[in-house]
Amino acid sequence: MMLSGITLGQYIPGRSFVHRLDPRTKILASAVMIMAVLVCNKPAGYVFLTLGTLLALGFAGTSPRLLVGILRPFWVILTLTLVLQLFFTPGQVLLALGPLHVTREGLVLGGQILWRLILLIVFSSLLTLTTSPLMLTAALESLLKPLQRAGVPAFDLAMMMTIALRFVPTLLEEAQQIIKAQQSRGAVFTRGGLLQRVRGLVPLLVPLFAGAFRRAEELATAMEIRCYRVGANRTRMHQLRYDWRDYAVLAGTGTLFLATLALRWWG
Amino acid sequence: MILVEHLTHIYAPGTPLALTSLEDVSLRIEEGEFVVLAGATGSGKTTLVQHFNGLLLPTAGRVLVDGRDTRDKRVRRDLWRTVGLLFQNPEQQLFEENVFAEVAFGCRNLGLDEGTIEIRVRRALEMVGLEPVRFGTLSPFALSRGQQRRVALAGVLAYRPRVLVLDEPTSGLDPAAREQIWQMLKGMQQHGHTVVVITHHMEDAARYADRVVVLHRGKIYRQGTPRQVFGDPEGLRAVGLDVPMPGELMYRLRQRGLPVNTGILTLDEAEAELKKLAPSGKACPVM
Repeated sequence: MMLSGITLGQYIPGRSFVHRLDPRTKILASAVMIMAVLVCNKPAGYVFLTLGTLLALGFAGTSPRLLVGILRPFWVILTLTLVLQLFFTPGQVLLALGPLHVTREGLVLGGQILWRLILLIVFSSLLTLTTSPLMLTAALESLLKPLQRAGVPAFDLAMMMTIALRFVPTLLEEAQQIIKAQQSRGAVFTRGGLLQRVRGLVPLLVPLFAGAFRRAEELATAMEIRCYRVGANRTRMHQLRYDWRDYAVLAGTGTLFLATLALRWWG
Repeated sequence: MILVEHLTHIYAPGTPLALTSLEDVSLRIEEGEFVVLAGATGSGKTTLVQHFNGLLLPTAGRVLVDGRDTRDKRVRRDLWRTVGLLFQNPEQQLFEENVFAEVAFGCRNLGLDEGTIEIRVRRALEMVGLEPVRFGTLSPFALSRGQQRRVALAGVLAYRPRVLVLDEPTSGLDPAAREQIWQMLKGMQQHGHTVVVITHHMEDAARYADRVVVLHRGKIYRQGTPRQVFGDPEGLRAVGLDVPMPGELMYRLRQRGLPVNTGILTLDEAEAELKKLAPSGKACPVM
């Protein structure tokens, strides 16, 4: 229950190559890489994608420890996926544990899905880890702008997404704080039967929601006080500009995507 | 009672966000003592008190409560019964339907019977100045912030932990309520409780504390009786603290070369000291 260290969606300031990329490049590259991961179905493809991921992590200056911190919250879901695939995929039996059979096909499929999930998590985390929420909105807004003609409220969407992203770490921190406060008066979150545990969540969830609503209201007021208006035409303090690094990264990820696609069709 | 030995605490160790909050702090809090923890924001006060009831564990060093190490999980599980910790802004932890149930939460977790709970909750509400009959049935969310603060405080008082640790219990309260809470805490001490309070109000600290511990950047900067601690205002201001007015006055007079005692905490003492200085002068009524 103790959520410590790195939280999901948190931005860690830095001066690495990836930090300095145009945020639009990072969004596009992440999206392309995620698509590549999803279309990949050949071992060679996974090798390419893994190398690409390691390269990206290296350029972002991510320590192995941080990587573990990113993946830790997901370990239950990752293990569960692997186990389910291992035991419930029919095929050639490798190992029998009582009524359960580990199959060759299950091993392959489970491993594949596990690896996919890990790559997906790493890529989406890398984006938020190296891009400040402010830059993220700027990029989203810029990317969505062409859709504005078609009636997509690009700015509002970008704003909503930023606010949501911005408040993930805040709410997690607040949750930790409330957990501690309730533990201090004897609340138990991690013991007892299912019913007791669910009931145990009430002292956490009620204050958390109350806090979220209060925050939302305060934020709205603060924005209005500063004359925020929906749809106002704003200029930016920092103009986004692509340079050679961005073209290089986009070309690289594009190639990787085409390579996995080619492997899928002809490999 | 509470023994802190070479305590170091680092938040998020090994990440770029690592932050050393406490560094080699050793401290001893005696049974029945009234201790005030002071220090600028970020000096480590809150981190320190969260070690007292095992919410945080030492990165290095250890904390013993009644001789039992907080690193032991079984000790930690029941520590809240002995060390009652009230968080900063405790109004954010309220969740029950009404004030009575809110205050009773700790007692219920202790497993007390309804009759005892009823008595204790009433008593606790009275102690923080909320009439049980009037407030008991209201929703805690319908109260003002100051009242919510008192409800949370009552929640700790009601289950009667031997040690009361309060993180800025009076911030944001009006002077009358502040006074009332300090009086009440002093009363708790007289009933045998150990009281540890974090505060920025140095005048209150000077009046009520047996001992003041000043933290500065994660280390103990100075500790002693209020007289010892506030006797040297210069250093205190450098670590971001106020100095009670009477002490400040005496200090400045001394700097001007007058032979006055600087270990002065109250206006009465200051008056007496000034009379010594000019015994023939006319007494000017204070206040």
